[in-house]
Amino acid sequence: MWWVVSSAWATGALILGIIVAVLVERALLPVALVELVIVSLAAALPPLRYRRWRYEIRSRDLSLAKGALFFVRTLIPFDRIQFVESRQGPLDRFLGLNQLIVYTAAGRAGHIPGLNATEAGELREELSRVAGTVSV
Amino acid sequence: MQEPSASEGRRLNPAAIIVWTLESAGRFAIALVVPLLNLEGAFRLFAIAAVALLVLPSIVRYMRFRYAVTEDSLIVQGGLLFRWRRVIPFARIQSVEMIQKLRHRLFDVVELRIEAVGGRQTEAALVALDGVEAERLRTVFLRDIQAVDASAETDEPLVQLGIRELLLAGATGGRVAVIALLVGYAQELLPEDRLGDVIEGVSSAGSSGLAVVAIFVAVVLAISLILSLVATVLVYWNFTVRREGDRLVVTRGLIEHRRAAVPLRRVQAVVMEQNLLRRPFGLVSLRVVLAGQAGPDQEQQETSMLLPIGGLGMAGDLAVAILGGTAEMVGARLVPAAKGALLRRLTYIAIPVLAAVIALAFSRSLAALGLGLTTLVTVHAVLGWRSLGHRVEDGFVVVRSGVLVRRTTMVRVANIQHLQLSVSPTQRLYRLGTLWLRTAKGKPRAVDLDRPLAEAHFATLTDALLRAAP
Repeated sequence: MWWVVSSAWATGALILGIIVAVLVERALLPVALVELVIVSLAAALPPLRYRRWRYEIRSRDLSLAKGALFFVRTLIPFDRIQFVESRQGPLDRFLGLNQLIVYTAAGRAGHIPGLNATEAGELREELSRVAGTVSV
Repeated sequence: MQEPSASEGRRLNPAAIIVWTLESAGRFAIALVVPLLNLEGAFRLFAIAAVALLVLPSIVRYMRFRYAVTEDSLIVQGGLLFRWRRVIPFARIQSVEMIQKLRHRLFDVVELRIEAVGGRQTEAALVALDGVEAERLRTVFLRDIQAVDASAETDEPLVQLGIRELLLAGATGGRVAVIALLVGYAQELLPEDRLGDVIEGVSSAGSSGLAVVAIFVAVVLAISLILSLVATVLVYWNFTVRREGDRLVVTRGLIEHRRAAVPLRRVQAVVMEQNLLRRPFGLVSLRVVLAGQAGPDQEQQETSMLLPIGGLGMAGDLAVAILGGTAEMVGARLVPAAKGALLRRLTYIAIPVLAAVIALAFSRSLAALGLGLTTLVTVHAVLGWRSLGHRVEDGFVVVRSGVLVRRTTMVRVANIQHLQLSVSPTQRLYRLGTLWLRTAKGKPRAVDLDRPLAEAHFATLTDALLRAAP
């Protein structure tokens, strides 16, 4: 999924750059340099983030880990899950992807993006099934 | 089966009219009384009409509102155009609050607020009742829980504050808000151009001018102290906390008498707070973080305070009464933050220092100011680092932080909904991490732990969470 996201970012940055360049007629070189930086970042970050991304459904809990610069590890016991939401932004829809968000009494606990339709359906079923069941 | 009805039920005390009016349009009503007395002719009529308009809805409401008590439930109904009726079985009633605000006091009536199990707001409010009737109703509503109530009433109160403690609380309480208010008010009195003259006059007057400023500051502080004392005494008069079954009942107030019930199972965390003034004397204040609180926000703030002021010992006992556990849990030493955490904070300060050094090249005074500020920030950072502490043990997690107001938060592991460990780029540099204990309300966290320690706690808490029942 990452390469798609990365290309999306790069495209976005390029378009932005073109717009800016058109507006600022002179000083083309500095703008081009900034563009280069942005584009390379946009290309580099998503694969890094992808590699860091983990989710693991264990016997009694869901374990997530994400983040290249800002790393966050999350642990959600099954019996604390209140409900599971599936979401699809416009980009997701275009790419045929789904996002699952898990909620506990403390709010948004974690999310799993980049799932295809079947994966998302199965996962949501599974999590809804174990949600709220006592783990003892 | 015929639907239960309260048509033959009782009406509230007529004082309800005034209570409702004051509640909804209190300020307007009061503001109109003065013109009513002063103005003549057409204006007077207008003012009378306005007051009548404000009172009319309350009169209608009073006429239509009825309540009735059956074998096992309370029925309330009302409304003229949009009629409504609510049947509340006694079994569903979780707590009955008795409230007597100033407007109730005026007519010697009491308000009963009924809260139901699992409800987010007051299910029914009987706004004005005779004292006798209120007591009778309260007894009837709570009769299922009555057994527990009766036995618990004879217990010693957990907390009872006398006037001496209240004065201490008022004297050492945070007065920033009061001072800010006073300063703002003072600015109202002095228009912009006058302020410039005042400053000029003061600076040209030399040392005597400074004396004037000093006196002015002293006066502001004195006034804020008095205001703070008065406010504290009025709000927390006869502050008492009693345990009644699975609730803590808090009663307080002089002009506005309040009685609130804190359901123990809704407590998410207990927070002990200490400001700079109280720390040398070992005084703290204690409040709880509640999930699904009923009532408007301002009331929330006040209801969650369980100990406006007290010694560490008293706070500890109270914390144990609320969360369970042992007294050692409260007094136990906390693990301080890692040294790397101090380095990390100092790293952030390095930038302004650099800026100050560069500024030195350009302007002496600016650089001096910059260095002064940097010193302050550094001191704050060091103190902030030293105030960090945490402890994970025996089904509880305790975290502490804060420079000006030191906050110690105690959380039962069972209340943790999900667990998070975060590492920011600077934290990664110094091998640190932050542990987040996500509860149903509030986000207590242990900041800047040693990474291996944080991971260890994460694992320990994971085990504990998976073992404990929700």
